[in-house]
Amino acid sequence: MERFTERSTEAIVAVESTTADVARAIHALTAAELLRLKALARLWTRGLPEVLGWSDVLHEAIARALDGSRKWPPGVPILAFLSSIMRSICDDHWRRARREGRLLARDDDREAGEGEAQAPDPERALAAAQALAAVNELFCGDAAALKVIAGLADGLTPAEICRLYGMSERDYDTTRRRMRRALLRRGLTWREP
Amino acid sequence: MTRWDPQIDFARLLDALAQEILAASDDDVRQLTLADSVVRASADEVRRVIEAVLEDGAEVGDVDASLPCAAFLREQGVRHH
Repeated sequence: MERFTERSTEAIVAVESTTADVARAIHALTAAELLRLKALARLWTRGLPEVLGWSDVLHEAIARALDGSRKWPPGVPILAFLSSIMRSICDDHWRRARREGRLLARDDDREAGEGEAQAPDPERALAAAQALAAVNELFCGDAAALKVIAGLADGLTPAEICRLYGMSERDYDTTRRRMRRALLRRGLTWREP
Repeated sequence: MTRWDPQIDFARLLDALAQEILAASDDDVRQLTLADSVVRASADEVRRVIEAVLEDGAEVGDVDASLPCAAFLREQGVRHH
């Protein structure tokens, strides 16, 4: 049977994939891949308001993939494709919430200045800070992981993280493997947002 | 001094952590040593979401009904393991 997972090289071709391809790829997901998909959905919904759960975001992502409103780029693994849709759904959510909040504010105060567009979104900043704290808490017993987390949040490359914290490449790789498992485990057991 | 923006840090971190999950292997999943029931329940939860998309699409016409895709999944069912 034709498979469209990231481990398949035969099915990844340099033509635009159709929604039927997407359906086949979703159909072919293994149990391990479904678990990773759930972990991704849970990750992307961290920091979102409680009204939007991981299954809502995943539902919407699959719908967009299947109705063709998001095209599956050639060569991109199906999980990465669905992950990117979930990411943009979460971004859209914040943009929409901010726009609605701004409209309400404008009703209250029509004198709002033009600098408003660049102002940080306090609600999103608070949610981000809380979600960062939750991620740190997840790795609180693992000093090396906390260093890697701090480096990733600062936008550092692996080489820069190793240099900054005096980690060997091997320590870095071992730490990342531990982090992967913690993320997967937490992705399956994190309480509902 | 630049003001700390948690949104930027969080966005970077989410991108990096998503890459970690995408890079996880089947072996990583096996090594979670989760109970079979937890693994099965989680996979089934995701399958139910997929099935719900198809049901919603059938009701409201969201999912393209030219639909080898929806038909394909409906006919064969989402694969159970």
